Amino acid sequence: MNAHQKAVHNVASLKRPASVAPNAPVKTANNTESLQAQESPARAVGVDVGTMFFQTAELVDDKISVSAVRNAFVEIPYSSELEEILTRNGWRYVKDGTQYFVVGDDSMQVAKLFPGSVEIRRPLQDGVLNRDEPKKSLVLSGVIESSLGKAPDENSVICTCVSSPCADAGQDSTFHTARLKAMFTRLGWNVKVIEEGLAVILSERPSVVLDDGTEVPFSGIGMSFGAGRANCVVAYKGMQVLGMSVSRSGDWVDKQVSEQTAVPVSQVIDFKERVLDFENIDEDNDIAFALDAYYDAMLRHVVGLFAKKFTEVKSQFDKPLDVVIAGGTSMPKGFEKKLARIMSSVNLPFKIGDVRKAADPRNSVCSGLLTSAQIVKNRLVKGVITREQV
Amino acid sequence: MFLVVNTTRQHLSLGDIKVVLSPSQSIDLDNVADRRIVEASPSVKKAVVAGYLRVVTKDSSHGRHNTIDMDELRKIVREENDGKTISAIAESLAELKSMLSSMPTTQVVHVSSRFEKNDVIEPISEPQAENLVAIHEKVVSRMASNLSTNIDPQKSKSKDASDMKKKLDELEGLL
Repeated sequence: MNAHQKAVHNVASLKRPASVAPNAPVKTANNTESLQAQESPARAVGVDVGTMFFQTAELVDDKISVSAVRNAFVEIPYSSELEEILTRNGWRYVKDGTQYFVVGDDSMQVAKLFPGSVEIRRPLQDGVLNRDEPKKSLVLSGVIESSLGKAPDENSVICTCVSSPCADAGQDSTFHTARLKAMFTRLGWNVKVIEEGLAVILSERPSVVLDDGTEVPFSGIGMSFGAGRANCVVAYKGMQVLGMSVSRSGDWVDKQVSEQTAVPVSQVIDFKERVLDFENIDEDNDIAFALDAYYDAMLRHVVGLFAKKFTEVKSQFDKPLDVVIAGGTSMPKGFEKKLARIMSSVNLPFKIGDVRKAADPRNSVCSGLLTSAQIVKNRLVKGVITREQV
Repeated sequence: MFLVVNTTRQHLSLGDIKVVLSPSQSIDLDNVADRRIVEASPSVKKAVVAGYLRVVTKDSSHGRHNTIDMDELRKIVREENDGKTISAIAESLAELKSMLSSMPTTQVVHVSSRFEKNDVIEPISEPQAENLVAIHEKVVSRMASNLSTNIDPQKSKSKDASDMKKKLDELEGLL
């Protein structure tokens, strides 16, 4: 085996043992005494396969360990020195025969080095698998398999999320959900799929306070503003009552601003992430002004459709509902105040309580997914539920 | 009509059909979702069994036959014609009656010689979610059979999990 071959870990070598006996006293890196069922090698992982990032969260020594890989790749034409170049630069890649796909942030670097000859491609678009990308499943399978490996035992659980049914022109997610689930089940994992907004509820724990002062936890509205879609879920005591998504979110805003200001999308994103502050908009700056306007339009669209959906299902909540927000698109300063202003200006069929942003908006969904995965795993280990009931 | 009432003094959530009932609230579940979905709903079943939900009225969703009561029809015709029996109408009624009896019913009779009378023909159904995942699993496994990668599982960031313990305990109690 030469140096380059050594550098390429065959996926098989990254796989964890599949036939570990249940309840064997195996101490894995992610097996903690206090939060996970003792003596079980079972793992519980929250996995958020987003349009922009592939994120995982897992308990490691009583700490939540989070990883993120940019969900993008470039395909590099084969040459005899290619593997050496990739290895020398430390670029992460997925290889299929003679096809090489550089993934994550490294793909951005490669795209900058070879402008015009390679283009950045995405496995997901608008919150679902990208129908125009033929290599989406291949690359995503490689990322999933190398990031998670095989399930160590039959009680190991992955909880992932999908967008709620789309209330506007977005794609249906039946294919996306089944394909994504299959990418995990083929590695032996039990898979729990929840809607993205519910993950925010499980992570941020909004609550309703009754007249007698009793607090009802995990009750309220969870909103996640990602790149592809904005998701909203109403939950009561941790159970989802209503969920919907819209196809206007971060990517839509970026595209509109770019078209209106003739500034490349990459610069719009850069400005949005570094400078944008909704409490202090410089109206002489075209990008800031346009971002403010299009964020406004996007939020009105989301809130309007949400109110309509809420009215349709005839749910009734007498008490004000707190709103918790997460997702990369909610990162700019003052986002939560802007949303609160818009919600108060729209005729909603329920009262709004506090509107607050998650302490860690980028990782909130993944933390919620980990919470759900832990619950399912504990129940499996205790025999409360079977694998079929996951 | 499938009228139910929340018998508890708390909000009652029927998650899978996306309904939350306030204390003592009643609702016609036929207005919420199709009867088959409501009847298959685990949350409705559990709530009824536990006594949280009481079924007030439940009419049959089946057995609504659009039959014609010929006597009633005759009576209406007579009333509309001042009680006179008109031979033409009587003839039409007879014709109508014979037409109705000769019309095919909604049942489809399978006539293929390959099947015996006692063969049960399963209805063609949508692929179940589990089957769909199994199909995708085969496709992905075939696609990824030759994959290799140099991606190391990296954990970039860690944060305190003490808050999660509290949430897990609360959720275990709720769910």
